[in-house]
Formats: sequence, structure tokens, C-alpha cells
Amino acid sequence: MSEQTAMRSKSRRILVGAVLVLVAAMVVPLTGYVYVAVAQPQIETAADWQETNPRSEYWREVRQGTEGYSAVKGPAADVLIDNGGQIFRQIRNGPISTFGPWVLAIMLLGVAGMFVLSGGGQKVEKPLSGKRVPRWSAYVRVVHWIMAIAFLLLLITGLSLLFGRAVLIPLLGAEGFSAWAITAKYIHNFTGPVFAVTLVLLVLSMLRDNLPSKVDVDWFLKGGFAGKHVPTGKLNAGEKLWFWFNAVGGLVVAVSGVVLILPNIFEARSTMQLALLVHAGLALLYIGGSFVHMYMGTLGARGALDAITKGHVSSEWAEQHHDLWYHEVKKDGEEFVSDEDDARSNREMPATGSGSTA
Amino acid sequence: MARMKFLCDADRCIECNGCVTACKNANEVPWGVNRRRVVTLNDGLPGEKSISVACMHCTDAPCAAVCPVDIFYTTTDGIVLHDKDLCIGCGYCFYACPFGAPQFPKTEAFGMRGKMDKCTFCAGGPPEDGSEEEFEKYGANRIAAGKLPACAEMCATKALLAGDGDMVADIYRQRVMRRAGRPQTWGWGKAYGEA
Ligand code: HEM
Ligand code: SF4
Ligand code: SF4
Repeated sequence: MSEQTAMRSKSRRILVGAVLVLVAAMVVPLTGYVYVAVAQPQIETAADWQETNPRSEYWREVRQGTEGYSAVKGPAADVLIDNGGQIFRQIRNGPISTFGPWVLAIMLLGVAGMFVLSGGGQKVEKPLSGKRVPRWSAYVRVVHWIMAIAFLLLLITGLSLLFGRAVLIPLLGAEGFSAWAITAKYIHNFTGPVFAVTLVLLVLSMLRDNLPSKVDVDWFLKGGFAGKHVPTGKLNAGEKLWFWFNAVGGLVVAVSGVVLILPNIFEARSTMQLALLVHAGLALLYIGGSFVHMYMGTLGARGALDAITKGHVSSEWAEQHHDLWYHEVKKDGEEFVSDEDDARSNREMPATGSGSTA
Repeated sequence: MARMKFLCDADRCIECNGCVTACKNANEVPWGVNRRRVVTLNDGLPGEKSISVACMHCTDAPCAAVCPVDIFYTTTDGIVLHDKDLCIGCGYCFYACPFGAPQFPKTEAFGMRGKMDKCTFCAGGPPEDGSEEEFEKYGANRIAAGKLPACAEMCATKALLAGDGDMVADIYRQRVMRRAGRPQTWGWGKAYGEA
């Protein structure tokens, strides 16, 4: 009996000891803070008393990029050494240049995988009856395509600037690439503002259709992204995700781009360094996302392209992909059977309208 | 082979801007561009010091690393030059340069950048040495004529030294030995990867 109690108290002592050692191991190093807190004022007073060495202060200021005075005026003229440039170089020539192509390659492979797994893209299952429902107004379609063309131009010219040195100089030679790069810079700089304006217009006119709802949560939970049919309204959660990526990420790309084309207004070097890194990094993700969007709009969901070219979709497509919306539209009596009906619907749809609320 | 370097002796520089003027004069640089500038820290306070700065002609130059059209080259003298004909005026070199050396004439429409201009160590550029085209685009080629950069030659206090790095370092070391205090080869760590 007593032997057992002794054993138990011994093991308890070991346990308590172990816990104490653990706690001590965590707490003792923290005393460094106490030392720093106590010692700091002392160090400072000692330094004051000895008088700081103005020389070493000076070189520290030079290294830290402290602003001075220069009779020469111009961006960054008052600073001797700027350390941000090194970070800029490392991030642009490092992660952005190395991970960027991977992002694009993975997205392309992902799209190819979706194509194969879905057996060549989702086709409309029921035979087409010829009935149609209106989907996007002429205004939305025009703005979408101006924006899409601008996006493609920005994509081609932007990637030329980022990867041309590695990819195009070996192909075109230094002179040839330089000629293209100058053209690309002009195209990029003038298309940019067009893209920015159309992006804002499109975001505003599609905002109402893209507000998140409970159905969207179900879409994710029930595997809508994997191609399963989950009841959805006018836009499914995947489409809404792309919308919000455009509304937020696209806007940041646009704003940083506008900063970059105005070097006379945003003179600070640090602003420009940050703007270019954010611009290039997000643009690569944006391009990757656009691959999925372009695939879904053409091969991924057959019949979807009509929505943004002709403005209407077949009733069968609508029922298969956006059943909740389809039933609503049908109930409102907006299903059309003939081309004249289509023409009328195009005329009558309000500029910002979606079919369901017209 | 020589390895050309700049060194500004902060204990001698009197902020007269003679180097800035000499450079503008020798190279006839574009309007609004100053290849060299003098920066004064603690202006008007005890411990005030000035340094004359231009392109430092870096080893492993950051400007060259980020240029999308890859137009920089380093001469056998260690001078970093660029080909203006191929420059697209993107400004990336200016973002990367620690010394704020690349400059852009504001001649383009909508305030877009023109071709980059910077100190050439008075060594001109890609066109034939001493040719009119070279002078038009890049300024004087004094190196080809056996002379040193105009700024350093003009410096009245000999604060600004330019030439082979070893010789510059020797001159500076001798000066410092006669002064109390440690040598300060300012900017060399950043530009050449050494103290
Ligand atoms: C709002 C519109 C935009 C504006 C104003 C804009 C502006 C700029 C500017 C000024 C640059 C620096 C190069 C230069 O001076 O030409 C740049 C680079 C770049 N842009 Fe844009 N851009 C816009 C949209 C886009 C979009 C939508 C994409 C992608 C599809 C994109 C991709 C890129 C890329 C990849 C670079 C190269 C970055 C690098 O070389 O590090 N841009 N952009
Ligand atoms: S000082 Fe600036 S411009 Fe000159 S070589 Fe170094 S990074 Fe390039
Ligand atoms: S401005 Fe000219 S030199 Fe500078 S990075 Fe761009 S293309 Fe190269």
C-alpha cells in the first residue's frame, strides 16, 4: 500500500517537475525583454552624456535614405541611398518572374483538365426547342467586349514587358524586341484607361446580380465548382467569385496601372516601386483567372457565349445552368419564341437591367 | 584593367555644385536632366555634410537587372553604359537604382517618359568613340581621349575623386591617415559589394 502511494507521489513529482521545466523554458528567455526595457533608458542616457558621434550618425542617415537638401530638383534628388530599389529588384526578378509563369501554366493545365473530365465541356442536355430567354442588355454586352478586347491587348503587351527579355529577345533580337516593346508600351499605356473605365461601368451594371446569397454557399458546399448541378439564380457562386475578383483585384490592377502612367504626379520612388509590384503580381493572377473565365464562356458551358454575344440564351440552357432564374423569368412571361421577340426585348431592356427585373 | 569608381570625400565637399555644372557643360545634357547632384544632410545644423552623387557604375548593377529590354552593358573599365536607341522609357531602372541616377527628359506627350539619361563616367555610349552621334546622345567621351570625368577634374577641393578604384582608394587612405577617424568610402558597400 505505502509503496504504491510513494510511487504515485514520485510520478506526480516528476510530472510537476517536467511542467515547471517546460514553463521555465518558455518564460526565462522572455526576461530579455525585461533587460531591454530596463537597460534602454540607461543606454540612452549614457549616449547623451558621452555626446553622439556626429560622423557615425551621418553615415547611418545616408544608409537609411534620410532626406537632405539638394540644389538639383527632381524625383528622389534629396536622397543619397534608397534601399527600396533592392527589394523591388528582388521581388520583380524573383517571385513575380519565377512563380508568374507557373501560375499561368497551372491555370492552363487546370482548364485542360476540366475539359477532359467533363467530356469535352458541358453540353445542353435537352433538345433545343427554339425558345429563348433574354440575359444581357446591349449596353452590358458592348461594355463587356470593349473591356475584353482592352484586357487582351493589356495581357499581350504587359506580358511582353515582363517576360520579353527572357522569351522574345532570343527570338526577335535586341533591336526587334525593342521596337515591339516601345509599341507595346504605347498600346498598354493608352488601352489601360479604356480598360479602367469599362471595368468600372461593367462592375456597376452587374453589381445587383452579383450580391451573394444563401444559394451561393450551397453551391460551394454541394460541389458546384466541380460541375455538379446545384440550384442557382442568374449567376452561380463561381461566376460571382470572378465578378468580385474583377471588382476588387481588377480595380487594384487598374489603379496601380494609372499610378504608373503618371510619373509626374506620383513622383515618390517608393510609390512607383510598390505600384509596379502590385500591378504585375495581381495582373498575373488576373490573367490566370481569365483563362478559366474564357474557357467557361466558350467550351466549358456550351451555349453560354450566346448570352454575351446575342444577349439571349436558349431556355434549355437557362434551365440547366440557372434553374431558379429561369423559372422566375418564365413566370414573368419573358420567354420568347421568335426573332422579333428578341429584337423587342433588346429594345426594351433598360441599360442597367437584368432580364429578371425588366 | 582598371575598375573605374567614384568617391566623394564628405570631409572636403563644400557643396559648391561645381561638379554639377561641369557635367552639364561637358555633356550638354537634356533640359531638366542633371546627371550629378550634391546632397546635403543636416543642412545648416552642426554636423552638416555634403556628398556629390551620380551613377556609381555598380558591380551587378540593379538597373541592368530589371531593364525589360536588357540594354545595359559594362565596359572593360567597369563603366555601366546603356543603348538609348533601344530604351523604351519604362522607368524600371529608376525604381531599382539605389542612387537615383537614371533621369528622364519630360519631352513626351501626356508626361510619358522619354529615353533614360544618366552619367556615363564621361565614356559616351555605343556609337563610335568621339563621333557626333555619340556626343548628341550620350555627351562627351573623355575616357576614350585619355581623360577623367569632367566633374572630378573640375572639383576645386578634390573632394570628388574618379578613376581606377585602387588608386582612388589609395589617395583616400592617405588622406584619412592624416585625419583622426575611420575611413568612409561612402556608397561603396552598396555599389561594389565591398566596404
Ligand atoms: C487599368 C489599366 C492599366 C494600366 C493603366 C496599366 C499600366 C501599366 C504600366 C504603366 C505599366 C508599366 C510599363 C509601362 O510603362 O508601359 C504596366 C505594366 C504591366 N501591366 Fe499594366 N496596366 C493596366 C492594366 C493591366 C492589365 C489588365 C493587365 C493584365 C492583363 C496588365 C498587365 C501588366 C503587366 C504584366 C505589366 C508588366 C509588369 C512588369 O514588367 O513588371 N496591366 N501596366
Ligand atoms: S548607380 Fe544606378 S544607374 Fe548607376 S549602375 Fe548603379 S543602379 Fe545602375
Ligand atoms: S527606362 Fe530604358 S534603360 Fe531604364 S529600364 Fe526602361 S528600357 Fe531599360
